[in-house]
Amino acid sequence: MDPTDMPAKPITTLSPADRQAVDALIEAAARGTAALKLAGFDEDATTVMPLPAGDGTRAERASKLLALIGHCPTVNPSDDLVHRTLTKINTEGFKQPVYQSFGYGLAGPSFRWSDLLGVAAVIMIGFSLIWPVLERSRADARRIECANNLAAAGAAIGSYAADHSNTLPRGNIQPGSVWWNVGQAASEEGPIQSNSAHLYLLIREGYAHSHALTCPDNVNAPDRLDPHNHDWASAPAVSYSYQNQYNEQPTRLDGIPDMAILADKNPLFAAQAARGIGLAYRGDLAPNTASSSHGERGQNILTASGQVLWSESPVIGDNDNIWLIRGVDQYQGTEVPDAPQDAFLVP
Amino acid sequence: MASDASHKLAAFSDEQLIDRYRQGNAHAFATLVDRYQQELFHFLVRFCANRASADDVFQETFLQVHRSIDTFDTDRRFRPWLFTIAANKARDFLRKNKKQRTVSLSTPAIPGDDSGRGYLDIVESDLPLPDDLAHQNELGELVREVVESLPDHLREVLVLAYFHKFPYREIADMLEIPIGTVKSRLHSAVGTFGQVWRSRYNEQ
Repeated sequence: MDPTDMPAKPITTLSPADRQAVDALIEAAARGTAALKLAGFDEDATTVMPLPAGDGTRAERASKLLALIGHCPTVNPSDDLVHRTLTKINTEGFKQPVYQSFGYGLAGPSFRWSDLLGVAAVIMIGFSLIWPVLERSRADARRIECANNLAAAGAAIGSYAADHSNTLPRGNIQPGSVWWNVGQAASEEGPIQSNSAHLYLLIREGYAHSHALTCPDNVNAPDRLDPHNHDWASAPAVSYSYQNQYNEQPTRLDGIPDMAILADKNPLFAAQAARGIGLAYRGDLAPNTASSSHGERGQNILTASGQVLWSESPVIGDNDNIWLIRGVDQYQGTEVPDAPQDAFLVP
Repeated sequence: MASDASHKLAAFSDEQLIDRYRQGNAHAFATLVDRYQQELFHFLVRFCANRASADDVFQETFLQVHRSIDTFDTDRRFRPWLFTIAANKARDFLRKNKKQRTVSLSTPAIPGDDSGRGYLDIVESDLPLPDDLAHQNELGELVREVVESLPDHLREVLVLAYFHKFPYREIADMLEIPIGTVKSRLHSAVGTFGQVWRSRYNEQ
């Protein structure tokens, strides 16, 4: 069976006692201080490493589980792999300079300049005809790349949740505080100042790479998200809007598979240059305005089940507008959803 | 003679070979490729779960080593640097070529601890381990299927830590993630393997 055809499986970790036993076995093998024949580490081992102290049965079972994984077969490289690799490198290493490959020599070019101008004109005309098509296909390619990034973010959120009691990424908050101060630096222990900083935990704690939280259509996005930072530097730098994390209780992933948790940027909360750091509510826009990330054509949306949808409308599922809280039409930056299943995605 | 030169080069450390290659000795580079062909290919086959992909990524990895050779600090060890490049290339390859793998984010199907986190207890679970197994001859294929079904980020850490014995600290540096995340991914890899193994083996 193709492994990618297997049904999705929940991530499961080990019990605390098993984690200790596995760590002891893995670390001892990495140090190379003892042979771990029982755990399948070294077929030539003549001695068996003392198993971790404590529960002998547990250590032995952990060792056998690792030995079972060690039965995973592998295949050897083909005989000519080294040769093909070196040939490929030689091709690059000794390629000809460009001027030679175009046939320029001491005698000069072998065609007239008028020929060159004619060819250039034809190319220009052809290019102007296909430009709109190319532009549209490039936009589609960026939209698909954005969807792939959101899927990667979903996998990172899944890993985070598996390690954190099945909750969405969430740092230390002060309930009732303003959540839209994007870019306002947080201290190491102090409360988080913006909703985007909760999402940034995926970068800080190594669950996601920069690309997973960067939309290719966001021209203000930084090239790399530094794991030593706490938040994006400013609201325009943020690519995605994340389920608001300022409720008293963290959002758990249990039983909400269709709920939106991350999407292209919410257009109703925009950066206000005049106010410096932070956002302001755009009450002048229609509530169902599409994200501006992809030309206001729609938005990519990640649901709690890990699926990424493209939707032309921000209203999905049970008539839930993912940009707004049900029944709230004025925002000061402290509003939070009453119901845990009410999606409210903000930068 | 080339064979004599190759014989002498085989006794050099990886870092010494890189020094020689920088001085223009192409045999030194060939010695490195030959030295790592088995180990790196085995890593890539297990991580990419596909022989043809491993073949492509192997070549791409050494092409990148060749291109970046001047940036390598010979005071550091070559092997982690090589595997870092290979892991990056393999991850890019998987992202571009694999069908979208859906990772379930919902509650694990087995009971959790007090915090609601799903976990596997190796002693209390009725996990079929080698001593208990009837189908020993099919064991390898079954294990391979389960290992390949793990999410990429878990399989990557499992292969580096278990099969290639990289210390946790080195894996953290290679993948640019905290050491706690490395451990957590390894625990999840082993736990998820056990959970899936139990259901898959019992289907046989």
